[in-house]
Amino acid sequence: MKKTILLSVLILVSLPCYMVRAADAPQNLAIRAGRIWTVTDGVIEDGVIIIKNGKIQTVRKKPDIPAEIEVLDFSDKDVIPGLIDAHCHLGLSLDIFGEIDETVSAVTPDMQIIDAFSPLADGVKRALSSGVTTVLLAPGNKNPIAGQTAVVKLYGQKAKDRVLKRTAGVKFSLRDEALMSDRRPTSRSGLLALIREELGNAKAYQDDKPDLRMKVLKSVVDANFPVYISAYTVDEITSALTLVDEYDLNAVLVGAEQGDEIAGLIAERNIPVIYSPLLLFSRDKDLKRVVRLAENGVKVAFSSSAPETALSDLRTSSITAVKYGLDKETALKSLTINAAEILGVSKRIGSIRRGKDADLVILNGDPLQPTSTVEMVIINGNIVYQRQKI
Amino acid sequence: MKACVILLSFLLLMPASAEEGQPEITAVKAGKILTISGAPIADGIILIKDGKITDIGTGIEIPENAFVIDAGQKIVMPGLVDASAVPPVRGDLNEQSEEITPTFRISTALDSQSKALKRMVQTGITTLYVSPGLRNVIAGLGAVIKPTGKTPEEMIIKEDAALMVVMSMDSAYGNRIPRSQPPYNFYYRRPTTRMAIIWMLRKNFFDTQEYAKSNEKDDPDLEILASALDDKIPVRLNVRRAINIRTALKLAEEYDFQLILDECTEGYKVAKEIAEKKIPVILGPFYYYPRNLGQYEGRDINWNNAGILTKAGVKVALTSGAQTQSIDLLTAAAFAVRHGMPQDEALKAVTITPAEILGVVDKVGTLEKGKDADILILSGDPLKVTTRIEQVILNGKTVYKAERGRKL
Repeated sequence: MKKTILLSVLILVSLPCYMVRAADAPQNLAIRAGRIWTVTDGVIEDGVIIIKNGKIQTVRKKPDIPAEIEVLDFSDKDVIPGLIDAHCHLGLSLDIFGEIDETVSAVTPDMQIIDAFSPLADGVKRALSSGVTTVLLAPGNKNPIAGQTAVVKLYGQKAKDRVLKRTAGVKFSLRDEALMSDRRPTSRSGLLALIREELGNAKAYQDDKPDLRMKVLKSVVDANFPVYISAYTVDEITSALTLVDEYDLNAVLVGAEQGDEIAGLIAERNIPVIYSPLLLFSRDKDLKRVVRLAENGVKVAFSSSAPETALSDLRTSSITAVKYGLDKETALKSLTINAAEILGVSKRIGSIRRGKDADLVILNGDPLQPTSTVEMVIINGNIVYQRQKI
Repeated sequence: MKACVILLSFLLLMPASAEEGQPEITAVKAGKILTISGAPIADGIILIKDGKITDIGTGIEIPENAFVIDAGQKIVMPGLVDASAVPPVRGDLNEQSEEITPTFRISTALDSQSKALKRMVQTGITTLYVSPGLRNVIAGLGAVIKPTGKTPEEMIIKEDAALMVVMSMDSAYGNRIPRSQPPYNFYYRRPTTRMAIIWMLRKNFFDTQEYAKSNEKDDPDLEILASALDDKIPVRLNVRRAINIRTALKLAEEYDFQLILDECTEGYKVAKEIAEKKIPVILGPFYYYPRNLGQYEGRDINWNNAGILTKAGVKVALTSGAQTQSIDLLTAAAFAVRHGMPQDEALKAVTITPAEILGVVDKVGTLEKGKDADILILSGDPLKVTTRIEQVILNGKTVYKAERGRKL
């Protein structure tokens, strides 16, 4: 009993930090901002964003604001689009040390990650407080053909507001983690052979016998359904490129830590990269790699790969990349529009533009300065996070 | 505007001038060149262009713009060919979920960033054969590679160089038979004995013969085995004991495939028979005390295995040893000489002979016109323990230079 009281007191004390003002219906708002980083249309100084029915209606310097609309005054603050974490395992396990792979079978393309996602998962609130509004959910790296990814927002009253893509692609893993001593494959060559076998079977598959796994893989080899290939080292990436060439896959590389070594080969195939969280590295040599990758013309997005790093660390990755020489424009793009384009949701999110979803983050300074803090986060026109002054 | 144009043209010219800065032709001058293919050349010169040797001999005129590597009185020899090196592959070298995996290609898993490749270059190896591991009866296809390049395509010089077949006990150890408890994974399987290994081989070769007769051509495994029985791919049989070597020779005759003996620890016992059938031998590592196999397969080691086989007329290649890498290749040759192998034969056993056995002798193994410019510069006699490798040239480019205190 005593414990319960203590716990509830603790919860009550901690609540105000995450004071979420969730309305039943999206509000109509006008935001007066010192700087609007539209990402695709440059920076607008002293502008106003008008939000209607959860969408951005107007982004301009001095629009006429209808009288009935509530105006939030952030005239000394910066507004950016909601940040997109292009690869994470959020909400897949009950706790942070839980399993994110279904390792009983090595090939599970029919498994849909969206079924496991809980909007109340650990870390969602912290992610919101750091400006992340949309994530790609993916299974882990232990299955060569792991399952279908999904793109979801971290807030939404209804599933249609929250889920951008129920299935965004199939996750493949070419990493050493996919090898196990008591399950096929046990070796790297065997791993590739297994994927080739499955894709070959999918090509030959006719719809006569219903087979969910083959149906999904058929859409990969025949209908350009995207594949997210997890590959870190040079040899893993070259293997991925061979698969892309052989089966004409619509591929996205996940991880691609050493991708800069063969950046030319990635760039000439127009394969985008969802880069590993930079917080995992400590050597200068490794931290510079993403910069070289982007400079060689590869489209890059960042990820937290949560629970490897916290979702709230996403912005830190791009700030670190800027420190190591990435130009600021690319860094901001890689957190927003690049990620949206890679995930195939750029029609709805990724920049501040008329008609797009009103997913906005308000900071008290330059978004690529580590000292800037998130003041407010808006998803679909709802204020879902507001920083409390202590 | 004008300044801009000048700057632009300057920028455009820059890469071109950088290319011109690197001379097309490299010349290596040395006091003694061991060509291996012929007699040593005193005060010789090697000309290299586009990674190939364009000329070799004495009194060759060096073009004016050539980049000259003057080795002084040092000794120059061809880059070493290791017919059984540690594959630069992470993780398991076998796909253990089955015991017959002919389509398993180790080359699909090559890791160009492997530190092992760097170390190999430092010991003078410029060409190596990489093979699947020894855990499967028919383990798969090996490839000949060079320790250079970033993608497998850049590294491989011969794909499907041999089909690895394992007759030594490695392919049976670890397999289990379900007795009291039910089987729960794929290690509960055959073979568990020597006789079952050979039975499985026979069965597969028989199936292949039947497959070759039939009209159906849809089994990728049997396709590979069929091309092995057609002599398109040599069969490399890993054997240690004399009894297995004899069985290997018999199988080769029975099914008529091109045999290469691998490891061959007790080869000296059957040297005559191997020589009669003209079967080449790739010897295993020298300091080889297989602990878990010792009782059965490593008991009868003869330090002069290489010498006895050579004397009997067998084509012998020395290796650093894929499974243990206990020794570097030049030291292995020196070791063989110490125990009775003739000097010139030992040098051939790490250069031209493995190149011949691997089927890449048109590219590597000797210093001859038209071959790849894989060259070692040594401080002295290659078979002396005190000699060190000063410089390694691979495809005409210097890839290693000895420095004092350099970390390996």
